[in-house]
Amino acid sequence: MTKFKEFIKQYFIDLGIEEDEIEDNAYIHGDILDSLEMVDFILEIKKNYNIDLEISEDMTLGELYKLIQKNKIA
Amino acid sequence: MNKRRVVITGVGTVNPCGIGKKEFWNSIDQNISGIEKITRFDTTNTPIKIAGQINDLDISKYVVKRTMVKTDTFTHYALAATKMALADAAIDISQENSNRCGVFIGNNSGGWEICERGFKELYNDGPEYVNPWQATAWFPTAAQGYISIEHGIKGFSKTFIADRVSGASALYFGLQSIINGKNDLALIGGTEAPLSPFGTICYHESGELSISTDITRASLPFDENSTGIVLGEGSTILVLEEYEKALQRKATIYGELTGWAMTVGNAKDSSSLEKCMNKALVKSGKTSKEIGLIVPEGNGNVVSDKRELTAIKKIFGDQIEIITPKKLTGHLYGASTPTDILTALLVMQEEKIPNSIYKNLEYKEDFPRQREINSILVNASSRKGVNLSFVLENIN
Repeated sequence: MTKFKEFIKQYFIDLGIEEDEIEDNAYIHGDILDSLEMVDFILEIKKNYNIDLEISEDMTLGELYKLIQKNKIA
Repeated sequence: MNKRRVVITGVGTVNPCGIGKKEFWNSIDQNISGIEKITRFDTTNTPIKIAGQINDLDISKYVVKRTMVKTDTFTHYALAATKMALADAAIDISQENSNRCGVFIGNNSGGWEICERGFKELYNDGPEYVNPWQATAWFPTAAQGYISIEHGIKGFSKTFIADRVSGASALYFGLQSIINGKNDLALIGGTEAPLSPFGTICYHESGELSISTDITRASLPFDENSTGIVLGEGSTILVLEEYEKALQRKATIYGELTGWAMTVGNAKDSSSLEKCMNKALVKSGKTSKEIGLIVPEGNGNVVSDKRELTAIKKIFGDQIEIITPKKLTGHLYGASTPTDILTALLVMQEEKIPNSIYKNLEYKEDFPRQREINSILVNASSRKGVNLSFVLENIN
């Protein structure tokens, strides 16, 4: 899970997102990413972890981590 | 209502001869060429070996990372040149003027690097892995779009894709948006970034490009030994303003665009180009004798150069002087005419004709290079016979 979190954080930083914007209570779609960035984000997770993610508009980053942990998929 | 006039109040450039107007002027003044062996990629198996190449540009100074990763190099260049031009004009795009400001950009061929990335993703990983900004980033309007977004510009705007006259078309229609009252202010210019394996191969297919490996004998406008056009990359953006508005805010004025014309004709026959230059002269109220200098299309294609020389001599005789910036930058396609206009403005400002790009036609007399020049004609011509001419005047 720590590795997954690090991967996500690094992805956001590489995209040019400020570190202080990457918070667990931030909405992934809207607070952190725009709609095209969302597509790329989902593709990157698919490429690296072979996970088909469905991220709803109101999902926070913390909720994504919980989803991953609950399903033990990363 | 008084006739509206258009002046240039800001300039920005990134091109093979320099980042910014000072470095560009120093290079052409000191004969420092931007044409070199391509180092951007391995040219072993590609036909074009030399080009006007930009080095030492720290794009992070001009473009935020979040925009950089989802845009192509041609948009990066345009954003950098725009930032310089707005700073040079000392003008802010605000809520008050954003609806009266337009963006007019010439770009011939879009984003090659992002296309190559997209192809790799498509053929290596599969269609679902093609990056999501592929569609918007490769497209020639991307530069206009990102300039508008970055600076909050909402006025009438256009992008022009028209071979070697892409940038000239942007200037022609952009300046008229001010003349016709649609805009009071316009960011006008062009951008091109064709230096990728795929890009150079496609340009080579035109049959016009030099495949020379000798950088000293490569870009030779109006020379019968020319081996063809040398490809170049870069962007030049000009800030155009309605004259009265520029005066009101006490802007520094580089020059006024007093004449402009566009004609279409046979690309092998000089008559449509003659007509174009004559129309621009009439529009400006100048006679051929009042033009102090010409910046021609002059690109190193022997057929195109011969046609242009015939047209120039018919109107101006042998006693006209010309300068050919493409000798040092290569052909910047979308950015070509805006860079020629910039060169003309700097010649008027510096009161000096750089020896490096000076071309002697059939002079009996050696004119002094250091002198005041108040009217300059700038030409652009496409492969298929579209011509544009502009008359610039020093009104300071």
